[in-house]
Amino acid sequence: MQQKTTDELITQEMLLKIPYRWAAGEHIGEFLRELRRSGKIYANKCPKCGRFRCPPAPVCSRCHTKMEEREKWVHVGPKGTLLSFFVAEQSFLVPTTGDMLEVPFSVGVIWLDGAPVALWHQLEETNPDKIKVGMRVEAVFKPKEQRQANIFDILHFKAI
Amino acid sequence: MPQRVAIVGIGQTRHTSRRPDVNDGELINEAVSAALADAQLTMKDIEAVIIGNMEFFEGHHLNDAMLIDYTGARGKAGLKMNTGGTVGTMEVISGCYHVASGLFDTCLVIGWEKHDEASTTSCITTITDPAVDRPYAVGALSGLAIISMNYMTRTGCKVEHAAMVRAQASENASRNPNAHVRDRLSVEDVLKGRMVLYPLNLYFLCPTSVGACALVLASETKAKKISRKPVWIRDHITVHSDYSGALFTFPGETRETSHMVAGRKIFQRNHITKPIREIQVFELYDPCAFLQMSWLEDFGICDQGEAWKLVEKGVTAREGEFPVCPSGGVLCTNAIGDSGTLRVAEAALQIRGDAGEHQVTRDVKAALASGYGGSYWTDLLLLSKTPD
Amino acid sequence: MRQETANQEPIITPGWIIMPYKYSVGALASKFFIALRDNKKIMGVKCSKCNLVIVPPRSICSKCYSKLDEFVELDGKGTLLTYTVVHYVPPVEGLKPPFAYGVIQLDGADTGFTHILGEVDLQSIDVGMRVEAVFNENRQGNILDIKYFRPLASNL
Ligand SMILES: [Zn+2]
Ligand SMILES: [Zn+2]
Repeated sequence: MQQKTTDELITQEMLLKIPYRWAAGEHIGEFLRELRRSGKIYANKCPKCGRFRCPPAPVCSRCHTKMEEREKWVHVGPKGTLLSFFVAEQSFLVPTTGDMLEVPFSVGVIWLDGAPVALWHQLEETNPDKIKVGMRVEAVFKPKEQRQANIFDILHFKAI
Repeated sequence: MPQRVAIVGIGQTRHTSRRPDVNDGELINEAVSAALADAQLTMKDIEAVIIGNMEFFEGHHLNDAMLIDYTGARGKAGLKMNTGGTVGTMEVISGCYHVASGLFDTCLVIGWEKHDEASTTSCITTITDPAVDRPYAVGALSGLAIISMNYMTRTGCKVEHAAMVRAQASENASRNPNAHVRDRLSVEDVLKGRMVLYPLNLYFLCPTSVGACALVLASETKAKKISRKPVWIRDHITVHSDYSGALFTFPGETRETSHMVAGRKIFQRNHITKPIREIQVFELYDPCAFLQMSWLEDFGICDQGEAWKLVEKGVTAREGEFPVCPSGGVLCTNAIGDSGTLRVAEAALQIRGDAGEHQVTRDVKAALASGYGGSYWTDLLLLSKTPD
Repeated sequence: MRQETANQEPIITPGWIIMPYKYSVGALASKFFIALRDNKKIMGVKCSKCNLVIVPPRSICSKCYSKLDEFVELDGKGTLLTYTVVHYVPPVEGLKPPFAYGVIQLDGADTGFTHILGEVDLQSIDVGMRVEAVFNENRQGNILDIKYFRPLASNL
């Protein structure tokens, strides 16, 4: 038994590296195309219970009713109110790139003007003392020619 | 007519940061052997085996295949569960279904995790929507931080209250030989912790642990025959939340989380009108200090905005009127796949009076155990000393 | 919705899951890997109750649920039970196809041992073929310390 503690124990180190391709689908796809096309953020509404979703969703998660069609999507933002936030000060491995997260990295939950919907996105400000719940923020878009129909077409939200 | 279900065997490993002396299967087998010994049964007596952990957390998919020898499931029925933070409680609930159905008289339930073998936060990041959410998620931590910030804004709770929760958890864990982080911390110590995700410092967050927990469940007939101290699973409930509304309620919107629905329903159907008086201990799944308070409110133990006042008054301490996580909770021990199983195990030990140094000071007739996780649902179990 | 977007370009988010991970083989299997690395020996573990010899070792007998800790040394020779020839190129790094791997019953063992077949004509592999372990020069305490199994020259 005593010998056991001095015996060498083998721990093998390995690397998992798997590529994936995620189809954003009809609704999130169109939401992302609009970011590129018009630089506008869209939400849609449940005709039954009035709940909004951003990005737009096909079906209401509360009452399982078909959400309003594309022509009725509403433009929300680009201004909004900060509902909550965090600032990452410790770095972590980002699984989608294999790199370490660049810190400080701050993310806010933004209540976009025009509908009761919240979007999680990066905040420009990374000093937690300068970020306040309730502060007004605005989306900063990449120049049109650089937009790629992904969520990074919005660079970040900056304080107004 | 469903059969009543009792917990007749409880086993757990010690919890720690690393266990290079055992592989996954050997770790699990320690808990399985302990649970069988506690039940005074052998593997031959077990009819079904449920096992679960966090999918992928050891860099390993479908690991149950390779664990069969160690779980004893060969030739037997059962399931594997991978439901995020709820996996541990979901296994117990699944075990209940197996026995309550009348198809099985015994069922072994195993939850485990070896967090040291891969990057937990990276793994959890992969649960989010790749197109719009993944770039802004930092594992489970981002959600915990967002809810904590929102809890402070909504209720007037201060960082100091979360520090009180953590200090109390550390006092409890110091009495629990199987807990992972057992250092006693003062409120000041906690406040000095290294910042991880503002407003959460290291001490407001659960650790990443290595450990396993196993329970033997039995039907009423079997339990009465073999067990001197069966603990009855009186009721349990699972409530799902939607992806978009799980973390957040808008100002002015009525708050209705999966915890709120679970608490309301389970108390209603068991005729519990004052849970804080009628239940003597709550092993609450508390991965973050702020959430222990927010979730006590959501489960209906107290009114919204009141939990931090209960913490201030010492109500939730081990010697208090309503002890919360006398084991030290998830805040001090978090091998995720076993965190939920451990909540049920620890609640059952309190009912049996077998919790040793961390036994609460009052007689426990009824206890609650909960689970919550990245799959956005709530599990809540009501345990009792008597079958009815 | 469907008609309107049907001829729109689909939005695909490409990504990776890149994750370093570790596996602690445990105290018992550590002895197996150390024997491979330091002595070029393949060790099996024997169940004293049902006499089963298992390789690579596990610490619980899958047949009778006994704890296992008795090691037996094997000579690295065995018989091919089954095999496959891989032509597929997976998106993750690995061996270059075509290559073969098989399940080998090592002499003295009761379980199948899966490994690569090397120094072999892929057309002439046959079930029942006698093979022996070839060890790597640079051994690190993992299963690839065995480079592959090759046919025994004399078919012994
Ligand atoms: Zn609706
Ligand atoms: Zn055996």
